[in-house]
Amino acid sequence: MQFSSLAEFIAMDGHGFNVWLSYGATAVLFIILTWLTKSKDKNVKLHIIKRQKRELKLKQAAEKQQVDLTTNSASSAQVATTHQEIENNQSPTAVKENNEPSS
Amino acid sequence: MWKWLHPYAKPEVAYHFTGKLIPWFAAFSFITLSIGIVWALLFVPADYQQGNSFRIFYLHVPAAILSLSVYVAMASAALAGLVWQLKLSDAAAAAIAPVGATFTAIALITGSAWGKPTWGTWWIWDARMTSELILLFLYLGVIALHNAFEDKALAGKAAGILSLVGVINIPIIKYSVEWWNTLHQGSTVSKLGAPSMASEMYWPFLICFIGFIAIAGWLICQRFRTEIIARNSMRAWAIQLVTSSESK
Repeated sequence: MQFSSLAEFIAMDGHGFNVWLSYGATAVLFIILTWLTKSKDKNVKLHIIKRQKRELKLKQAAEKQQVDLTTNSASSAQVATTHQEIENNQSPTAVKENNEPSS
Repeated sequence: MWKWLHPYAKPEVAYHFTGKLIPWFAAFSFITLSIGIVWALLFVPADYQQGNSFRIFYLHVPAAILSLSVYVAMASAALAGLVWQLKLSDAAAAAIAPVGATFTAIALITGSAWGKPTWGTWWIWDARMTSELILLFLYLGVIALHNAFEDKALAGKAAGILSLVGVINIPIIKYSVEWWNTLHQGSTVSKLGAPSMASEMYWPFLICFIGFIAIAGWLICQRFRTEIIARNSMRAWAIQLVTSSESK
């Protein structure tokens, strides 16, 4: 042990500011990098989860409409309106996403 | 001969392999840095000329050496990505760059804080410091290019070319203290076999240095995994991995 008291340790023989600036800056930079690393990982995973949930919802909605279509097919006029509804409700991108093979 | 290495170029295998390395790197860096820093701050005798400001050495030198080694690692990955079109190489280069930039920043800040009591100035435009500052800008440029393109193959190519051009800076930094009359001193610890340093000062340095390597390995593996997931986000295995870990 090179120091006899805490005050002496902090003062570092007059070099306290420079020594603690170095150690502090190093610690802060490492903490920032670790935090950025963790948050990026979380964001990437969250993005995938959100996309999956959205796709699942679209898939379920499409299936439901399919069921509605078959049950209501007694009247041809009704079928026509349902078709119209599908086209109105689903944007082209949503249909495209829907057609992609899901895992 | 190199056949055994081939499976590791598969993103899924690389992801799980680095996942196994991470806890070891984390534990090892924690142990070595705890020992090294306590030793450096409390038990190493003060330098007969520099007094206690010498304790900055234990952060400055490992960070500075690694800022160069990490750059070489990044440039090698970039070269492999450009020559053999390995997608994982680009992911590795993208993962390494921020870690290298952090080491460079640490080397510059601690160097500045050490320069004030030792040379009487925070900063001087001598060859060593100027070239190290350019290294920081190179790292920042590479990071910016990796993030500038939505198409990651294109981003990897652009950043890879910048990394390879920047390699010219590495020997300039390394030999700047020999080629020019710099205020910065020559190397102390990297003289093979005979470091010009007392052993009681040298051992804690070695422990800190190993700790810095381990922390670099840990952060690079972690970032590499994120890059792999981000670049394979449409693959079934990645989607399954993410959604199953979420439900836990």
